[in-house]
Amino acid sequence: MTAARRSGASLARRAGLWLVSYLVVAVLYLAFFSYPVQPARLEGFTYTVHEKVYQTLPYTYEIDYVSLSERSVVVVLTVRTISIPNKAYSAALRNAEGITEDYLRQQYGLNVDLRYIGETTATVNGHSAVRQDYNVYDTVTGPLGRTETVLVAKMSVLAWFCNDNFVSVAAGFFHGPLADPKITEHLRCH
Amino acid sequence: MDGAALILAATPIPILIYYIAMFSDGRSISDLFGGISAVWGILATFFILGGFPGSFFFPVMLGTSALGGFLEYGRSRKGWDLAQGIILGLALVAVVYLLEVI
Repeated sequence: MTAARRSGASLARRAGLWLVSYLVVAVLYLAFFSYPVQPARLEGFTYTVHEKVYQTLPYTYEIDYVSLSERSVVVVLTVRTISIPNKAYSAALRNAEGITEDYLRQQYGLNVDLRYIGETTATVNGHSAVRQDYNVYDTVTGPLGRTETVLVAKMSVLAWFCNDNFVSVAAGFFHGPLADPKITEHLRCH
Repeated sequence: MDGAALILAATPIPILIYYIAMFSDGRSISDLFGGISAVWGILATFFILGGFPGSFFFPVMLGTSALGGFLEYGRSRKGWDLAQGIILGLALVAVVYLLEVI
């Protein structure tokens, strides 16, 4: 066998092994992202709970907590992810404003206006979380026919990475303007 | 421990096997550093489980492989080794930039 032919065979072997290795890596990543999560939970509230697997890739579990008496809704999404920096959560959460407005318009015909208040860092179950707060305004017509923009609810969204089980958690809570449930203290990674 | 964490820790193992096979063939520095980078990938999962910031994961992995490419080029003077160092070095800059900007 000539040196050139040997070199060609060696290169082909190298390329083949490289391809097989990375295919196995891709399969392992697929297995990681589709591995079921232990869902994050809200503890200590007597809310009505609805839960479901939201999607399987990446594996995402949704739990909705609803209290009709307190007019509060808490949505907790647990998503299988690798470690994500807080800056990425911050950028992702800024979409909450548009998503919520569209959702309320399409599902309930509500034309509310969400106004961003600001972002802070909160500690949730020992993890550093990004928190964004919003005021929810609605335009109502009074008895004399005058229209007014009034504060009807408050919304907060939080996101953090749970390093002990490799999941990202996003929680959103929506409550009346006078209620102030201490949601952050009652959220758990699993 | 969550089973997914074990799967994540196992993802660099095929790459490690590949670099061990290549290193035993040619004793190349870039293959040695590729193997070190894969070992880091396995260990990093456990570091993150222990609370280590995950933002170190990709920069160390890419930086080690890029360094391997440059060191191998210093020995072999082959264009491919230099290209490996430059491409992985640029990927490292891109990852660090994204981690800062996002």
